[in-house]
Amino acid sequence: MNTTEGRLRDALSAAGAMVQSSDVPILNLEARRRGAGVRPRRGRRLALRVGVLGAASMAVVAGVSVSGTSDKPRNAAAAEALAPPPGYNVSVFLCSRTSANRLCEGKDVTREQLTQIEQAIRAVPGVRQVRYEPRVEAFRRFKERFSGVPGFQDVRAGDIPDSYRVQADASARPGLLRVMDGRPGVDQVIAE
Amino acid sequence: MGLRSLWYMNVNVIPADRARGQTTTVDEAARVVTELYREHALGLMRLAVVMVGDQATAEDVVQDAFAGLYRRWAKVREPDRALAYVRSAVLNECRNARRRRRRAVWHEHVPPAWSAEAAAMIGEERREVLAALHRLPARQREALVLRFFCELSEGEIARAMRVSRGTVKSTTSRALASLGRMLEEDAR
Repeated sequence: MNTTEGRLRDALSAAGAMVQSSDVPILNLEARRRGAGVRPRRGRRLALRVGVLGAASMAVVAGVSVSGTSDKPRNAAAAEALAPPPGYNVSVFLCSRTSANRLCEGKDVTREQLTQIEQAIRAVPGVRQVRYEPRVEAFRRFKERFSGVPGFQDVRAGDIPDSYRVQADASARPGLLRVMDGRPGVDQVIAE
Repeated sequence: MGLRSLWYMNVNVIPADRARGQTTTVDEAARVVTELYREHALGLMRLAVVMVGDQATAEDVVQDAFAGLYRRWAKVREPDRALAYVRSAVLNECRNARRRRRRAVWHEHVPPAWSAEAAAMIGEERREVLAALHRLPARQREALVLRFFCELSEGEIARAMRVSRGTVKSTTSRALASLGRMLEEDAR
């Protein structure tokens, strides 16, 4: 290790080793703390696309944080949670008082809006099934899923909003996104 | 853990109840960016930590780079170019982070802010090398780190630094020579 090159390699690898795979954080594309120009610009479409990535990035999180531990049950829970969804699903999350979306104006979705949203979804050709999922149910399933996974204990019932769960043919995707984009009462649309 | 992330996770999770092992259509950009992150986040965080010296900044830098890649996906498209893009974004952000720090402290050179613990782990002799590395001009430091730490090829380095291969070659040899001189002087 006497050459400059050798000493440099050695020093760099020691410095780099300070970061371990367990230090790699969640890929969070929404709330960048200070990155210039990384603030999401206005517009529903962006929020929607970031949302999709959010879903995918969570897969990474589990993958990364799990690797390197020998904790079998935790591994299994995460792997199960990440099993691929069947066919093509869309979640239409509805406005709630706690929503960060300005279009929601800090209000819950109204009954009237609900009816219109559901009608609009059903009117899109290729939509197979529409199911309303109240937040209580979403929360219950979430808890079941993640009972063994650390880091998800402090989720409360209101954190996951009401939604419509839509199953559709792939051809329905553009139509669905178009009719939901910016519609009153819709917080966020997430296509899997 | 942000609430938003939890929602998405919820979405990702629900269908697992119903059927497993079936294929799914995930937004192409999301899929590729996610895969890239899975594969390269650790390496890039190490690159960033070597450049800026603290883990919190390194984390920010890498996250920003991937967020940027996702936003510009339409322009980048191919995984190969995407990796070059994030690398170069990481280098850029590291440069900015150092600049901000320098301005704040009003010093000409600010060595990386290794924590006391980390410093002890790295050891005296290696610290000298790192300190010398950080006295080099930014481009020279980058060329050395990309070559001897990231083990990139000349072509990859050229793309990450957005310069020609010839420039990579000359920058690297000049950098190595001045690093050697600095270490000799330190030894005296």
